[in-house]
Amino acid sequence: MAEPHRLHELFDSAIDLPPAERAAFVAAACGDDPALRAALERWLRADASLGTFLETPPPLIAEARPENVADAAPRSFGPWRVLRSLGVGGMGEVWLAERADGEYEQRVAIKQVAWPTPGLLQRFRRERQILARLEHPNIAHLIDGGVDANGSPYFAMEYIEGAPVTAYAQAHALSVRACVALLLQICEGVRYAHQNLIVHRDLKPSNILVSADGVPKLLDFGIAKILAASEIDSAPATGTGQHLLTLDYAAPEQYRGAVVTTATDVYALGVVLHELLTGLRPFARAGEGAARMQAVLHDEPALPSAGVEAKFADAAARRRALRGDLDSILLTALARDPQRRYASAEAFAADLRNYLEGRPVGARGHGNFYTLRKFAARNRAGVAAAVVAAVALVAGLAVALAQRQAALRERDEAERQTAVAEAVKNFLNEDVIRAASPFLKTSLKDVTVREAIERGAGKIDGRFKGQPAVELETRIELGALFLQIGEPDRAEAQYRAAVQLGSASVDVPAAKAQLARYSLAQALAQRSKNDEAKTLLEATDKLAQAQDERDPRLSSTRNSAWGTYYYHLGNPLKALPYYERSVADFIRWQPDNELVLASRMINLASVKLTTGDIEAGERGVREAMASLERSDGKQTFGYGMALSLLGRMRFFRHDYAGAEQLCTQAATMLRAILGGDVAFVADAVTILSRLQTATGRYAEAADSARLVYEAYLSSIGATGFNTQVYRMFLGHAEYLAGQRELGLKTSEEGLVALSAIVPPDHISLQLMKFHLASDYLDFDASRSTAARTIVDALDVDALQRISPEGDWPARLAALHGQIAFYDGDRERARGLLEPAIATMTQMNSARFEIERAQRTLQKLDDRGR
Amino acid sequence: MSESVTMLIDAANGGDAEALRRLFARVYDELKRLAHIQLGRAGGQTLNTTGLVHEAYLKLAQPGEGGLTDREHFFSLAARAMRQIVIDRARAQIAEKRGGAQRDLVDIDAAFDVASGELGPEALLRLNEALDHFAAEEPRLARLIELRFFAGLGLDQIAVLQQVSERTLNRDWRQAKVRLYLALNPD
Repeated sequence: MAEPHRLHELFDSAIDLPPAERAAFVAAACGDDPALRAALERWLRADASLGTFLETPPPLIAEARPENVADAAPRSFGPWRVLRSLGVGGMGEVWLAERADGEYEQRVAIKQVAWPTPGLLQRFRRERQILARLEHPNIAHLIDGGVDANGSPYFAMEYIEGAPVTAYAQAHALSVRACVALLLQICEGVRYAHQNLIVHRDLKPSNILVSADGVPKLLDFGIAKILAASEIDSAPATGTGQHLLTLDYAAPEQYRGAVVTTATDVYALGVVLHELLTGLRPFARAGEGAARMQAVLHDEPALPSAGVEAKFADAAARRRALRGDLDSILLTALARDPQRRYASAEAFAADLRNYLEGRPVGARGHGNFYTLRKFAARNRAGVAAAVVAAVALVAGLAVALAQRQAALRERDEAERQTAVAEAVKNFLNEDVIRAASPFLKTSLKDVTVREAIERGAGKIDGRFKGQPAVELETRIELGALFLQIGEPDRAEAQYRAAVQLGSASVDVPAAKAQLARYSLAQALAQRSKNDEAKTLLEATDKLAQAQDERDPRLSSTRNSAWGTYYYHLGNPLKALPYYERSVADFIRWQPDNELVLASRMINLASVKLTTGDIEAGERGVREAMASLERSDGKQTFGYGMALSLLGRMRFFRHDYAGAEQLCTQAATMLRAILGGDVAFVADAVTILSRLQTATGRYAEAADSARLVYEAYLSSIGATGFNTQVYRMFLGHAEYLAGQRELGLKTSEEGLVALSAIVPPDHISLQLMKFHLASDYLDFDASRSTAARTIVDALDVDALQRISPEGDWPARLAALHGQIAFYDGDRERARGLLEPAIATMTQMNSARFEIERAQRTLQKLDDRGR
Repeated sequence: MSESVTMLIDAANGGDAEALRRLFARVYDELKRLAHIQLGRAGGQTLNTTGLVHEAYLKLAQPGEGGLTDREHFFSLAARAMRQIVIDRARAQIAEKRGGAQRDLVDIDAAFDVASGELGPEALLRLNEALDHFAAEEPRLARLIELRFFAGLGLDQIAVLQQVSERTLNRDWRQAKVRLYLALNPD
């Protein structure tokens, strides 16, 4: 045998050569060694005859047929028929498809997720509707989404024929100004999405296609969030969820696994603009992999103008054009610290517009923003290297995956389905609904209530062909379950389908159709779609008059829907009688259903509480709890709600420790039963957050408030009343936690959003406006006018009803005192502040409010001296 | 789960043979379980081996833990486990074909259809045996075959995993194939 090492080397060299040159190479290399030559020739012969040896993984099971091992493209996704593959993207394969039912002509790009992450389906369902609402000329519209025959989710997006923005710019040799103008259009789309609280997280040229007529379209908005493995933005980058992160465009905070914000998208837009203008991405010269990651994490980019690629015909002119304004703009967009970047795409766009129109650019003149220096040493080793390699690994894996499994053969099950419809209804009632009902069960062994209900919902479609009455009934039941677990948007979807069935079929009894309509109205009211709810309620009332009294179920649903409508309109006093009648109806309908009755009573008690009647509220809650204890319901959803309400009452009495104990217990119990931080859990956490602010635990308070806000955002969306109310509270907590500017901004954004949802004098706004005014006064004199406008419109009675803490006169006096101080009316200020502080101290009011009043008093004293 | 995969990997790296055995068993069980689910989902046709390995990783690895070495180690173990699954299956198929008769001997005359790229159970067993011998000589190349062939990872993926260039890996791969092929087909 020839010397192995030499043989290996020669073989490696030989296979790099074209086959025709190999013989000469072998002869020259092994001239005086016939054994080596024979061995090498043998290896090369084998290499040539290997065919696909070892190239295809072995079939794992006997039934595997060779034709199935190859990539088998699915033929359809839901109503979409696949035309051809468009290639493999970051998240999986992409297909061009058209509607299979010929309803109307539409071509879409179907994207399917190659690497499912834990919880993908839930996030997918939750986000889908939010994303479908994004409609903007610069955003590819999400048209549809569903689950294929294998149970994997897919998205159908508007199909864009276009080129990635970088390729487009190159092909059209766009000038500097044309590039900036193009990016402005891209910013438009990003700004719109940001307004809708959606961050892209994965902006890159392949997600920004420019059509032949020069219009850029953004793809995959919000998809990255669905694909992330973690619910929280701050999943560590080593986590499995980061595999779709595009390294070249990712912001430093994404490498770090820190919080992703709108500024993250700004960074990616900055990278894209940098590439358009200079031909290279920032840090492209810092090497590959770990070295580049070090640079991104620790250095500021070099001056863009200095890095213009020589490939541009106008390289010298380009350098000159970038110098100054565009350098500053780019470096601001690319700041390592998100706080120093443009806060939004809008701010970025505004500065780009300044540049185009020759106005002074905001990014300049902030000398402290940046020291425009070349990067420092970047050879710091550390954990970051492992992170980048791990991210690259998973990214590589995701891209390489193109193999698909053959879709299940379509089976004609219509006949069978009709036959089993009754059985299915029983199944849903007995196995899914009964098993899932929060009132009947506590957390199930393996599935949470939420999962069980979702499973049930997923089983309905197409299962009741020709049996509209059965389907309607099932959907109403499921809708009620979704309401119970705090998912009114999904309840709405179920009810809508039920209403549709009721009006489309003569087989459905009139009372059932009306039941569906009232149920839908209730879900609409919960989602603050007030006008639609009202129209539907009034129309249904006209239809239902005759049935109402004889059918206690219908009557109960009607009263509950009207009560919910008034309650969400901010009128709990008007809502109360409806809720009371609804409970009475329910007792007529199901006299023995103590568990569900208890939950209705708790609901009623919480409305009473909102009207400011603590005693009646507490009585109702205690009765319901006693009833639950009698029927062995101590580990139920209703009981958790009751604990939460009791905690709330303790808070109103400023018994912070007692409130904390009860609400923590409630949140833990509800979370376990419902399987997540849904609205009902948020109820308890809200109180936790409030008592945390009151006792000076501001960082905790901000965390709690954020959780509440996000829970509402995901369950009722950005246009939900509670979402924006708690956004304002989040702002307040952020302010207290030391992020003063950010906090005010968050609160103000919430207030603006609320003005689109409810009238400005809505009673529930009082509390949040009070907090905002208090923060304004704490901030500095410049906001005192804004604070005064708010304080003048506050109503002490309304505040006492919303939050019956008893200390409102003193708290308002404290604010008036602070205003008087800013007015320079020292005597009035002192006269208001001193008694207010005494009363608030005596009543154990929120610590920060006392301190704010004391600080003002201190200033009075200081100046008096 | 009583002990995390990362803990086991650490212990195994520290030379704890029992930890290595338990780690392998865990990965093997998880892959079998996932394979079962995947087959159920896909209508019992084929397995997507790459997806399987990744899914097992998702399931077994604790998020946020473990750096690069752990991942490479994990994928190596997964590839080993995949190989075990394939070989177990091939043995079962052979036993079945012979009317359930328990025979461990491999049919030496079994056709070794290289060109098709699809190996029958007998060929798989021969390959398995040859790979064992090869591993004694060239552990690195043998591991590459496990990752590429049995776990279905692409060379580009393995390159990232092992932090070597794709060019190097491509040469290794050609050599590994040639040498294993010649071991199976001595002329």
